Parts: sequence; C-alpha cells; structure tokens
Amino acid sequence: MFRAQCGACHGPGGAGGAAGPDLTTGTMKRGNSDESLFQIVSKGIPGTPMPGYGASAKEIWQVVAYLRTLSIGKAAEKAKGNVERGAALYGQHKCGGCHELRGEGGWLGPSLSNVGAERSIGHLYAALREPNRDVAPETWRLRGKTKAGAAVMGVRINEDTFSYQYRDARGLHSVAKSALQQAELVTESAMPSYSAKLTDTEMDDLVAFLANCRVGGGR
Amino acid sequence: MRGTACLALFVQVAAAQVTYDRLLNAGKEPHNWLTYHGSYASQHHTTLNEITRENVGRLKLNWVWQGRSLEKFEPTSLVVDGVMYFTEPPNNVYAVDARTGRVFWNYRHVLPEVTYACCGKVNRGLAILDHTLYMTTIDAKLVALDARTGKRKWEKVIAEYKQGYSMTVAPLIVKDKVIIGPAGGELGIRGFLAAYDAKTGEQAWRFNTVPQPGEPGNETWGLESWKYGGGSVWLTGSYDPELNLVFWGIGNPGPDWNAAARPGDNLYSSSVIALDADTGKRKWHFQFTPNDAWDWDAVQTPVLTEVDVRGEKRKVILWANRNGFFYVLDRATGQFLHGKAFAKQTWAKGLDDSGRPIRNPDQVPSPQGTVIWPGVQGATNWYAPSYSPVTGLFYLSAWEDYWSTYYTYPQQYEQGKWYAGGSVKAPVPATNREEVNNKRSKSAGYGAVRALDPKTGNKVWDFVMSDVSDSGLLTTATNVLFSGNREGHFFALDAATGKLLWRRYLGGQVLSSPISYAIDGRQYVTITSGAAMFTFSLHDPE
Repeated sequence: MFRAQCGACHGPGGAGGAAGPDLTTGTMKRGNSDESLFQIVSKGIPGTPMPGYGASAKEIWQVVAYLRTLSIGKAAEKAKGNVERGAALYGQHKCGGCHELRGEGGWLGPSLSNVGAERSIGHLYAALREPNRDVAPETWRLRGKTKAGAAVMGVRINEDTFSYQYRDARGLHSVAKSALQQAELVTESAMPSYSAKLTDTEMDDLVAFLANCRVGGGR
Repeated sequence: MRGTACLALFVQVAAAQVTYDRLLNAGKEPHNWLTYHGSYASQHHTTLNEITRENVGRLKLNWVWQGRSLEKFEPTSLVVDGVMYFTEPPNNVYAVDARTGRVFWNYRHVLPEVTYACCGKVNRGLAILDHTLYMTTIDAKLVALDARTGKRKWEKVIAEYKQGYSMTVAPLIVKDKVIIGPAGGELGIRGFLAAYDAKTGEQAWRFNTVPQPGEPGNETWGLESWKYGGGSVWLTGSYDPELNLVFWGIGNPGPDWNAAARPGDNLYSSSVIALDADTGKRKWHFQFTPNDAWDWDAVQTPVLTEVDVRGEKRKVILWANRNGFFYVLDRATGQFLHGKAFAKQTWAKGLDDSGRPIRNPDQVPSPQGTVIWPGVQGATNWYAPSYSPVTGLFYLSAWEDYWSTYYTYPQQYEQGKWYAGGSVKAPVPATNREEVNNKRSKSAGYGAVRALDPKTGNKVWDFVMSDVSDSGLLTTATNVLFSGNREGHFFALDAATGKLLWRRYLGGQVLSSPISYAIDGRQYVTITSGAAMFTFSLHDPE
C-alpha cells in the first residue's frame, strides 16, 4: 500500500519524492507520535498536497507501523566507538568552532544537535573523511563584494531572483543582488578531512559521540 | 444632486446581462474580463493602454482581498461591469466590487469529508452567461449560481466522485452550453469533455477522451487499459466561432508511469482535440506525447492566432507543451506546421514531419529510476501563456534545465486509490506550499519568462529567475508583460526586450493569471499571491 499510494509523492522507498518530504529521517516534522502519524495519514495536512486516505483504521495503522521501519535502520545502527572519548575529541578538535551543538557553537557548518537521528553511521564516517563528497545546499556559502567594496561572506540561507539572505558571525543579513558587484556560491565544504588527524579508534569514538547527538537525548 | 449620484453608483455596480454575443465580442469590451482566458482566442492579452512601459513603475496597490483557505489559490477572476467574480478553494464563490475589493456576496459549497483530488482541492474559476455563474466542484458537480445574489439555482452531478472523479476546471460557455470535464488522471478515471444546457444542466453531448469499445481510438489501448485510462480535463479550452470548433488539451493516460500496462498510443491522452461545438463530434486531434510514460498532460491553453508559415498566413494554434516542445498547428485541420524544443529535453531526438516525437528509447521510467529532462511537472504546464498581436511574440513561464528521476512499477487498479504505476523524485518540488527557503542551485532547474517567435519556435529573450514559476502571463497593447512567480514576486517586463520595469514582493506563490480591466477609464491589474488577491492601478485607491 505504501509504494502504491505514498510512493508517488514520497518516493518508492519513502526517502522523498517530487511532492513529499523524506520520511526516513527518524524525525517527523509534523508530529512524531503514532497518534500524530495516524491523524496525518487519515486526515491529510490541509494546505499541502498531502491528502487524507479514507482507508480502514487497520490499514492506516499498518502504514504507520511500516513508516516506523523506514527509519529503524538508522535508529538500530550501533556505533562501535566510545561516546565519552568521542565527546572529548569533539572539544579537543574545536568542532564547536563551526558547528552548533545543543545551543552552543559556530554557524559555518550545519547544526549537529540532531545529527544522530538525521544521518546514518556511514554518512558520519564519510562526512569526516571526505567532507566534499556530499555538501548539502544548506551549507553553501555566499562570497562576494558589494558595489561599495564591502566583503560579503556567510552561509546562504535563502535566495530569490533579486536577493540573498545569509548568516555570518554577526547575525542575519539580506542583500539585494543589484547591490553586489560580484557574488558566487561556494559549494565546496569549509571542513577539512579528518582522515589524517584522527586514528581509527578516535574516528570510531567521534562517530559514536555524533551518533548519540539526538534531540530529546541520546540512547 | 445626491439622488442622482446614488443612482449613478447603483447603475455602476449592477451587473448587466452577459449575453453570448458579448462573449463572442469580448475583445470589444477590454474593460471587462468575461471568460477565464479573457476571450475565446485565449491570448491573455489586453488592449487597455493606460498603463505603459513608461508609467508602470508608478503602479500603486489599490486593494487586497484575503482568503481564509489553506488550499492553493489558483482562480483567474472574471470582471463584468465593475463586479469581480472568483472562487476561493475549494468551492466558495465571491462577488466583490472590482474598484475597492469590498464583498457583495459569497457562496459556500459543502463538500463531503472524503474527496479525491490528486493535487489539492483547487478551483480555477468561473464562467458567466446572462445572470448565471457556473462552477465545477471537487465532488464532480456543476453548480449554477445567480450572479446578482449568489444563490444557487441548480446543481448537477456530473460524475461519481467516489470513483476518483473530481472537477477543478473553469467552464467554457459556447452559445447556450456549458463545457466541462473531470480531473482524476491519477485515479483511473475515464475522462470526457461534455456540454450541458446552460439553463437546465441537461447533457447536450459528451466526447470520451478515453474512447470506449467501438469508438475510434479505443484500439490504441492494449490490454483493456482503456477501462482506467485517465484522459482528464482540468483546464479551460478555446473556441473558434468561424470554424465552430472547441479546442481542448487532454491529460495524461493512466497509470502515469507504467506505459507497459497500456501498449499503444493511448488516444486521446496528452493530445489536443477539436470538437464541433454543437455536437461534440471530433473534427481532428493531434497527439503531442503518444503512449505518454511521464505524466505530461497536454493540459495547456490553446492559443489561437494567425501566423505567417512559409509565406502564407495560416489560422493556427500555438502550443508550448509540457513535454518541452513548442508546436504550431493549423486549427482547421490539425495539421502540424512546425515545432521544436523550447527547453532542455532528453526524451526525444526531435519531431518527425508529422509532429510525432522520435523517442530516445531508454529515456523512460525504470524500476531503478531514470533521470529525464524535462521533469514530471514539465518544461511548462497549465499556467497561461500569452500571445501579443503587437510584438507578434508568444510568451510562457518555462522551467529550464528541470529534470526528474522517474520510477515505474506494476500496479493493480483499486477504486478511489492512486493508480499511477510509479513515482518521481525531483529537486524542484511540485509546489512550494511547504518550502519557504529556496536553497537549490541553478543546476536543479530554474524558471524563466521566455519569449518565442511563433514563426520559427526560436527563443527571442529570457527573463531568468531563481525559482520556477506557476504563474500565468498577461501582455498589454502598450508592450507591458505582467507575471508572477513561486517566490512571491509580481512584476512587469518590457514585452519587446524582457527588461524588468517594476516589481513588488507579495510574499506568496503566484498560481493564477494576471487580468486587467477598467472602470471609469482607470486601468486595473489583478493577481493572486498566497491566499490573497491584489489589485493595482496608477491611481490612488478610492
């Protein structure tokens, strides 16, 4: 039933399609409880393309149960390293200089407060070893110069035909494209590779620490 | 003195009868917008000339009407002698004073709790004849309202909504008939175009867009796939009074992405049909995408005009299709005159001499997913293009470099459930109802207002935008082009060059066509954005 009714919009594996968001992240934005999911599947979400399904309650509970299995893969993965040693490494390598974690840290990289629920273990290893392999558009930086000569450098958070919105150490900014003499999107990661900086054990420990970073507490 | 002024005001806002004669000659009353497309030729062009390229920079906001629906706001308004009529989704109708936006009356249609619309409970607008307004509904009814009071005159069940039928199209009135069709191409319907008596609602004729056994074209549906063939009708067509033909674009065949389940060309899906307006008999048809494997509904506006073709003036239909090709067809015979791709596409090597696509055989949905240009929403879609008799150019909202990954799988039909036989992934979402930030790059696809030369299909200019657009266009006799986009901008371009002349950020996606009308010599331009409607003019509001 999922593939036939839900797959058309949410993708065949639920990982996101042309009209529906990724359902495999382990965190449902609209409500994470079983009851919320039941309501959403049966009544839909008004004002969005998500329709309600007039299926039987039993069928809808089956869909909800199936939805849970889509993220079990990530939730059940166990990182092999030591979380406490990983926390120490996080501080030692000053990851907080660029990343926000539980309200503290920098703005240049993505927030890590829920990375344990949002990313698989494999992705965490890959991000530390080859950060340039999969650079999310959310982290792209805007680099340029205004016509007045001032430098523009920050993480791009929105863009339209006529303006950019970006964030830097000072806060939030909006700049008209017509005010820029030069602008480019930097799509390479600002993060260096940690393959050479960490031993294999240290890598395992840091990944274990990150895998445990979940909103609502780790496991 | 006071008495006379009151009388004048009353006369001004009382709507006069909209006879068929007035609809035929809509061009002679440019101060009104009498049909969904403005006139039967559907050029989305106004001959009003108060607003020019020189003064459009001084447009002022005159009024805003705010809706209270969370559904996508897609209607294009009618304006008749100072009264504006439109629908608020799903099926509410409003009559407001076109000068001030103040409400005269509204009508609310009650829908069942569970209905079957694929893509939101939307409605694209109304038709008017004499003093009656006509609306199609999500539960597949045709409703007739008294335009003076908003009271329902009658309603007619057109199709059984529980079988997956819904209706979203703004009707087309021709003579004494209301012409409409059902949506539901993803729900295994059997589509049709039908005409109903404007006074009684009795069916006058019906043309099956998915032919039944015994009807010509049924043989193009192998494996008995005609039973759930789709062939929906969800956008208003055009009419040529001299030929007495209605032209209509027909939706995709079902299941959308499993073409193997329906071997054959699948007539008349993803085609334009030309029917006799009195009898509904097919005069000709032209299929843009035979055995459509990508959900490329030919649900676009048939734009009627005359074009020089190899030294000869021909009466044509101009068609920028969802499949990425621009076509020029002779509208008396359906003959393909010429066509070429207007945006990046990888599914066809080109068109043969009859206009049939020469397909790239591996550019079809697959179980593991195939990346294909254009994406599922098409290189353009249902939002109205414009033809300007002044520049001679054809303008459209194009989605450029936009692709999707198409998946296919076998599926059994079940009544009331999606029957699409696959799915699609695209970096550009189908709608931005959820997304408030655009964090994509140009390589994910972008939007452009594109001007084409109808004589050659060549691009003349582009106004490039960051995000795509679902907005219709409007050109004026003074060479101003109005459009909006998904980002929430409403703007004016120079129709000759594409240069930006004016813009306002209205904050919500623009999902309808701009219209223009006039009252007491003042020209107004109206557009929807988000859940609201905005009207501008050069003058201070009253």
